[in-house]
Amino acid sequence: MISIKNLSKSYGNNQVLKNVSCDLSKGKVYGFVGENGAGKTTLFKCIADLETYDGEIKSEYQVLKNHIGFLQTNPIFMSLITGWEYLKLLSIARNIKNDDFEKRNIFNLPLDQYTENYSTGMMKKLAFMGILLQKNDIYILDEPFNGVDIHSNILILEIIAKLKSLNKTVLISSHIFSTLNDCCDEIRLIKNGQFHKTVQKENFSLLEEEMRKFVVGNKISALEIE
Amino acid sequence: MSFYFKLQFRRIERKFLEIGLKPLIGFIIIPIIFIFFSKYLFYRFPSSGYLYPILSILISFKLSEKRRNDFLNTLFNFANYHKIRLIENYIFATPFIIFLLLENFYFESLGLTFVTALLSFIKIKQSWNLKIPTPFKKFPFEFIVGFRKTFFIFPIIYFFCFKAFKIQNFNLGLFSLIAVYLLSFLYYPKPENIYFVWIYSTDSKAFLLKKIMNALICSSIISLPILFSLVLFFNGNLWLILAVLIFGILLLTSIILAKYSTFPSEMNLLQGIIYGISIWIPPMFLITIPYFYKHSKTNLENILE
Repeated sequence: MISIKNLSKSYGNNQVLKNVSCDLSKGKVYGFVGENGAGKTTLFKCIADLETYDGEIKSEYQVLKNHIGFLQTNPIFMSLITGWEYLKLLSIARNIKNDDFEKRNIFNLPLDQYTENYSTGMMKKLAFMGILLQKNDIYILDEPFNGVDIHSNILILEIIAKLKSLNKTVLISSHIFSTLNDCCDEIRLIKNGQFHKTVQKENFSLLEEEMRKFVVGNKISALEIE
Repeated sequence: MSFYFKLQFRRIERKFLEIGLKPLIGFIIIPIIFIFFSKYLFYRFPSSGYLYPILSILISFKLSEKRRNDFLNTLFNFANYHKIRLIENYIFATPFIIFLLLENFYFESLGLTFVTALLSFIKIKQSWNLKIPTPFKKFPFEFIVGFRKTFFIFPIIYFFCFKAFKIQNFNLGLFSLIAVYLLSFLYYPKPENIYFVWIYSTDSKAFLLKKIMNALICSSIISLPILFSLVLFFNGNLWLILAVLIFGILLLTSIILAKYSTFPSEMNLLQGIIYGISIWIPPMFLITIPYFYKHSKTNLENILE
């Protein structure tokens, strides 16, 4: 379990997270939604210890980040590195010797090609495959469905279900509500750096409706489209 | 169009500030270094005029990069785009053209002027699909990337080594060994994205050890044929060969430690100067290596532990 207490994060005068607290259990999938800049990615980076913060993040692990697989919104790749070599780097970093990546290449990626020649979706799938090979206990997936084709999205949803069955903790952010609807046990709405609302699976449709009302409001009529 | 150049100027200023240098001082130092370097080159190798334009062409090649040019194409109309490309190519090429004239290389100067203009019309795709095989597959990533960027230099180094045995010139052989370590050294100064350090589940000490061991294994793969040949053919100079080997090991160890001592930022000016002095006076490594190690360890602890 990960326990977050009074987590705050500021960039200069801009406070992005304000005293956020929550508990994240094993075998559960948590969704995080909110507008751009609401603080989702910052929250993920704080949990992953990629950002300094005020407050407390506790877990059963001595070094929490060593058990986290972090799929970033825009995964980072080096130039002149092939897909296979990228996976090898991620495996070495977690002392994993097995490098029979072709066998586990479920996304059919061209592993012998340079990653810079990959499309956006292929890059995301490669990065996702990389953190899966690391055999992590916690998965942070920041916009995992963005830019990925519909077939792979179905596969990603199945992988998330499998991770849940293996008692892993999964944190996901997405702007596509339906994908969260399919895989999450709980969704938290982040607004102005705080958890505005926490909704369980049975009430997801209510949250979606509320978000739609809030986001759309009477903005469309303000456009005066004729 | 003028805003584009103002923006580029601001970017250079920011780059100076990033390495801890006041922009004004930076803009004074760079021409001084250029003049000093060019003077030294022509003094040391009087026939440099044939190779000197290549340095300028390499910069123009960089500016001709396809993705960069595609972006400029979307921003500006046809005429302005070509004006920008011509101006920026000549901003970098003019000092080289002037220096060639001063050294009486008129034909080369004229040739460079022409090629510079020509390159402003060309887009060069710098990433290609052809995969260059490396012997470092199991040791990502520094040597894989570095080797692929500089693979064409290795045949030249091995040729020098072969030539050294053929004409029995020990110094040339020793030079090829030094060249391997100097080239390997170039793979390290630029810091990688913090994510590629964060992923490691080791402590800072083990991380540094792993990086250093990888560098030494990979550089050995390249240098061993030269080293064995030198020992075999010039066994009267074993001490010199050993000294170069130790220098190479210290060079790679120190650059890794120096890089992570300021990670994820690049080395600042002061650290660069300290490092430069160590290379110039190798016994200084006895002080600088422990200094960089201490700072690297503390720095990496914040990311890894």
